[in-house]
Amino acid sequence: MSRCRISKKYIDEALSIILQGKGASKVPSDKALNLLRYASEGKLSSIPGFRSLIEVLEFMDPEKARDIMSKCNLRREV
Amino acid sequence: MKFGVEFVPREPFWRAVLYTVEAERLGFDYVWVTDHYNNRNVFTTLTATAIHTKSIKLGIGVTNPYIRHPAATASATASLAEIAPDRVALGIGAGDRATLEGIGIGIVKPLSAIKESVYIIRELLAGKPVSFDGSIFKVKSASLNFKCRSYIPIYIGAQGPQMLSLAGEIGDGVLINASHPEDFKYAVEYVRKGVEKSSRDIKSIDIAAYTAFSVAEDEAKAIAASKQVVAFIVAGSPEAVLERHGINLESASRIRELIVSGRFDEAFNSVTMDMIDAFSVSGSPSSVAKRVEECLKAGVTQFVVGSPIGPQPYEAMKIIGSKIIPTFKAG
Repeated sequence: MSRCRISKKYIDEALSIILQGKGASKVPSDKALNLLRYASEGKLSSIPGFRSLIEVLEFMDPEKARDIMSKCNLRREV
Repeated sequence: MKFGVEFVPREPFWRAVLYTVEAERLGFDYVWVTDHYNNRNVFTTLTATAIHTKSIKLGIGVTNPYIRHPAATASATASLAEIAPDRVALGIGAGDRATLEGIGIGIVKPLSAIKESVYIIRELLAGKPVSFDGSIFKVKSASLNFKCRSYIPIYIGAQGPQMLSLAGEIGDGVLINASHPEDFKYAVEYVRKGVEKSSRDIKSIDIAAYTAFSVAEDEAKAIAASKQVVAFIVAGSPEAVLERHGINLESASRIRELIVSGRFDEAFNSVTMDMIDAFSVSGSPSSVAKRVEECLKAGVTQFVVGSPIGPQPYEAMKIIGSKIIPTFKAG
């Protein structure tokens, strides 16, 4: 299992857009619930937790999601 | 001093829950979710919130006895407490006249309605069968088929002298829709009168300031974000309240006319600094902290930051969590 952790800066950047940006109604509930689970467990900085954040961001601001993913050297899971 | 944050569930449920997860992490003690039939349901929103949080108290903020019978409110509140024991607070008030009248519900005898509702809800939550013949509610051998897991404090939403006094007499807390320390001094006196009737100590009542709040590092931006909500407060305030704050009645009347005629931008641009000061807590972190301190001195025991919270609400919550809450928790 990966021990990698994502920098707080990127989590905060994604979280800010998710909490304040437009398009929240486009997010499917399964993706939103997945994000809530990681957020409430304080695990957004884990790789799967951060992916859940990015998966939600992709529905709200896909360009920003790609930008943050590349800054973190993460690839989209297919 | 306890700190709360108010959310209006206009958006998809998950965003209010995510905000609350963050609020809990940032040190807020309470989340209060409003209850209007045209928004997401308060109990559904708080149920999802209960599942994803651990310690933050979950406030129904506030329901009313007209849209939902007190027995139904007791059942919904006890159900929520089953998911989050010792974390639920019930706020109840007379309701928003415009919203209720829009669906054909009138606000009848609000003092009696609240007093009778609180009695019925308390008895049901305590597991007692209730028979009651009131002027608004008539209940015959009603009881819940399940036991409420914990004590649920009841907060009364109050603004006028009689409701404030009733809150002091029968409430565990009072939610006061105001933002200025002078309004809280005025309100606390009436709460105190009610407390004296019930032979309790005012220290046993949680006096919550339900404020229109906006904070940002840039003071001008924080103030600009408050203009919209302040315009509506000014438009809906009785003359006595406007005069108490030295607000020019003609200016207030002009804002009211602009709102009624749908000229919202002009209305918002007509809001003056004395209106912002009277009806909101807006500004830089240091200026809002000063106002929180003044509210504390006026007798407030819980400070609730309500809409808009700031030009960027999440950034504003982080400022409150890092620069304001620690100041008042440290003491």
